[in-house]
Amino acid sequence: MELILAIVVAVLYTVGVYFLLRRSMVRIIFGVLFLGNATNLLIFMSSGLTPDAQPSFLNIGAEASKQGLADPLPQALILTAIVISFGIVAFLLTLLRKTHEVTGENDLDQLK
Amino acid sequence: MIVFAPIIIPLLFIILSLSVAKASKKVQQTVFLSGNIITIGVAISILTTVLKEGIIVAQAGAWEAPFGITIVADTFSAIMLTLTSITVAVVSLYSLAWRENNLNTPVFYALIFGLQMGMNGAFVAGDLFNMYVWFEVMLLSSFVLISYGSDKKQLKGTLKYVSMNLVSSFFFVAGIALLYGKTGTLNMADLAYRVREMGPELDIFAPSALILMGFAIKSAIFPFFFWLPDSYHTPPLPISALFSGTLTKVGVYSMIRFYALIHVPGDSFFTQMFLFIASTTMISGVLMATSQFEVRRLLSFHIVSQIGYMILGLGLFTKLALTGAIFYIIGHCIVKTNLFLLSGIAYKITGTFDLKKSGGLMKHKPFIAVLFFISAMALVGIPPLSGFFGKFMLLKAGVESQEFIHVASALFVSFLTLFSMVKIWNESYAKPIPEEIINQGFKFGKAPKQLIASSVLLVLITISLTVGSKFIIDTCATAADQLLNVDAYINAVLHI
Repeated sequence: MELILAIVVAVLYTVGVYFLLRRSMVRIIFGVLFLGNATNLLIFMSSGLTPDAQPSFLNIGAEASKQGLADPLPQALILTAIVISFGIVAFLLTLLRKTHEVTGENDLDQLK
Repeated sequence: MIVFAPIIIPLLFIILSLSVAKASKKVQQTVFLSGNIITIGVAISILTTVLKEGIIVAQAGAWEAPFGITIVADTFSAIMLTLTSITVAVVSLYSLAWRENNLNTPVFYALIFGLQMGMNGAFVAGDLFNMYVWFEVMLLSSFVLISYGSDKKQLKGTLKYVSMNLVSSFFFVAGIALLYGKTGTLNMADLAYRVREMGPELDIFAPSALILMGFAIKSAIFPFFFWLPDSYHTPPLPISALFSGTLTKVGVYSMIRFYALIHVPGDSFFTQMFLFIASTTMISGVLMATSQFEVRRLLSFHIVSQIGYMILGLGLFTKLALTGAIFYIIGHCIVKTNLFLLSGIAYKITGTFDLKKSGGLMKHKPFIAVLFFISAMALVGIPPLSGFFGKFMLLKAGVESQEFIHVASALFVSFLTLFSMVKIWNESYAKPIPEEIINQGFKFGKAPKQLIASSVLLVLITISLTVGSKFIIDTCATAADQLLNVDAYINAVLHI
């Protein structure tokens, strides 16, 4: 399971970077979205995905009872990260719209 | 509980400044300035408490560390809180008299408080994820501020600024995720404890590298600096001044804070890398600055170059070096902001930011020339002004650690800095206005008194850094001591 998710994260990062490096302005948004989601999945993976995984916040050497409980902390972190990236994407959309309105360009290289 | 105040007070004033949006301009401005003054008061009272009683710790919602959100203020945080709140207040005073760009609106006031809330939060955060959240608060305010007014050039700069800062945030969060998976904690004191407890078998190289990379992009060091000179000269001048004085320092602060915690004795990879980066940052920044003729762009490249000195202190990582770096941060923040403010005053008088087209300021306004001269010399580090002490301590620490190449490059960069300052002096102050500009019907403009007054305030602070240098260096040394003595930090937060 970890391996599959690792590959998914890698692909998402690749796609995100590819979009960010394109010249079209709209692609920046896609790039940011992909990178954001890849990072969220990475946080998710840090909790350990196998059923008997131990929450990482335990003290060194301690063990929790094996009740099949997931580590709740990364999920809280992801929730925060999702909310933040939501706000940022909303700002980015307005910014790009405004840039398009003022310059009439969709090509980043033409912005001089 | 006083450590919550630097976050809560700006938040209250965001609400307050928006809720008086319908009131008269006078009321709005009073609210704006009083908010700034109260924040300074809080910052200073935190500084005095920390100096008297040691590290202050508060747990949000009474959840004990490492599970709750911990707010910690040590001397370094308190210095940064005081420094940024003073800078923000002076720039606010300046922006009230800046009649262009429609800056005097409740929204602008709220954004300044938002920026301040984010910065203060990042300074007192005792938890990495919490620090990330404060970074985002700061960034979102800065995104809106840097695009404020949205003219064409500015939007282009904003796009670069926004995308680079988002990428750096992703590096930061990815590092946090891996770090949590490895160590099971994000509380900085607990992290430092576990790093020391588990020793070399705990390999946190990859997460640390990712997190430091995120900070590196934010503080614009080599090779990630290109976004800064491309974007910092585009917004309205008070905003440029504010950003150049305070924002990059937040990145440097977090780098020093984070590295001091995860640093294990004997680790030479990161310190060697910091030294290399410090030299390359200093040199590349200053070399590019020398070829500029737009004064704001020139000063922006100098920010990059001077960040290098701060990183040099981090790379040497001795008590003297960190003391020097912290003193340099204080001096640089005040002086760089002032140079931007003065370039704004020069713009009001000569009507241009282009050095080639301006001139004659020394004859026309000798007082402003004096202000510029003091600030420029403080930036270069001519004794006895503030830049000298920081550079001297850094160089001495460098010689003690036998890093002669980096000492040599720091000296070389000082000369080039002097060269650029002399260039601004010659072009803008000493030489007369060019003939063809006079022929086009040039007339000297007027600079409002309030603009000059805020610049005078900063020059006075620069001079008082010299006069009170013993006290300030002692404070910086305490801060450096606390950074190096991680056990005391761990003990203060976790009571172990």
